[in-house]
Amino acid sequence: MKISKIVTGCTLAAGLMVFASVQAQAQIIASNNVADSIVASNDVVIPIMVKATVLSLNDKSKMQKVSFSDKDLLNSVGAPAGSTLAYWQGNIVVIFNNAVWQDLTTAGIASFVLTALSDKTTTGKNGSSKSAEVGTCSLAFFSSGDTNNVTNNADAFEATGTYAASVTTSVGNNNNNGGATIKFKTSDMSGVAFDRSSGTTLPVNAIVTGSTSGKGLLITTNAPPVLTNAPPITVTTNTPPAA
Amino acid sequence: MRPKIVILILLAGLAGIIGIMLVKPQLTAPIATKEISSTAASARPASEHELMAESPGMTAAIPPGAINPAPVQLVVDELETNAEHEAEVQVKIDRLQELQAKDDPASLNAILAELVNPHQEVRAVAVEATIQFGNRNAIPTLKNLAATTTDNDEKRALLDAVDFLSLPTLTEVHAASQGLQ
Repeated sequence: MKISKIVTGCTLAAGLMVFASVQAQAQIIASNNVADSIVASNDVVIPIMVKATVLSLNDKSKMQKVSFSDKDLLNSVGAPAGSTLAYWQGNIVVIFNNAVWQDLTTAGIASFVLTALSDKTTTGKNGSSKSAEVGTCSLAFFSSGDTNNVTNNADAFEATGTYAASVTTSVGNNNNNGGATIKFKTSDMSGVAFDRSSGTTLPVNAIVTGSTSGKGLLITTNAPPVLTNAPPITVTTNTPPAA
Repeated sequence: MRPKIVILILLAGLAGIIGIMLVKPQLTAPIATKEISSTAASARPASEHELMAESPGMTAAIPPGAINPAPVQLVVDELETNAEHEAEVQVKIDRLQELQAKDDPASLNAILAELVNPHQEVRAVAVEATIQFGNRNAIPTLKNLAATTTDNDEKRALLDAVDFLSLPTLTEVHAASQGLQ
């Protein structure tokens, strides 16, 4: 058996398709006169949690179940303590000290691709909205970033499944700010992991969850991506208050 | 034509017009109901005035001042309250995401404290954050909560977290194999 290869280019292209609801959200925001810079950037950093169980052969050639979480992934790439994983522009990135420490997808180490199959957006009369989206997803991890030769990686796995995502936007008024909340969770993700000790592939199950509020919204121009502590986006409307 | 017949025809016409005017509001209500049900599934059932005010196409047919503004304000308040509630929950979730990346006991205790948060969504993320924190000292707390919770889904999630934390991690497996070499 052979683990399918990651095509980074495809990942990036798929990343552009990812979160149609986020795009929809940007359009909703645009219709509510949010600052043009935010709409243009449409940059959202979503902290994610990866959780997987991998079957492996131990030293006595017995099958054992091994856990794999964010910290294992971060350890494998030598990320500093306190780093977190996030989903940004369709890529999995390592965040450290509020900045992107490494883009794991560009490096070929990890990818998470969401492909929307269906989405629905409802808009409240005050401009708030809620979008729901479902689709298929795939998660891949190659510890050494060698996607051409899986045996060159200490650990590698790939899993596919489905996901559900939601984007909720609220509209601010004179007294407070509006914001956006984005959430997603995968389910039924399964696939194969490369077991280096035996040179075979074994089953893997994985779950990826992600969630962010307006705090994760970035305003980027040509500057490197940096998380800001800026307050949530301010949304103003031309809608007169309901008397 | 005889006057009696003329009067009869006029009366029949008048009755027809009155009948149409009486039936018209009842015809419009279901359309407005459909409109709002697609926008706020969780909202409470709205009154007829609220429903008519919700639909832009209907407001033109309503004479000015015919709508009581109070119910409309209630709908707006409820939407804003839901958004505020969601924002409050998200603040907790954001905090849990920060804590799970740390390694100190205080952070673990802060995560475990959220396992009994009144909001189900926060509790669910707290379970995930406990897993990501990766400290087996959390197992007794998870087991105790699983024993006391009445929600079967939450019980399953707590026990799954216990199982996950009980497994050797990939990092530990590599460290052990390197130690053998």
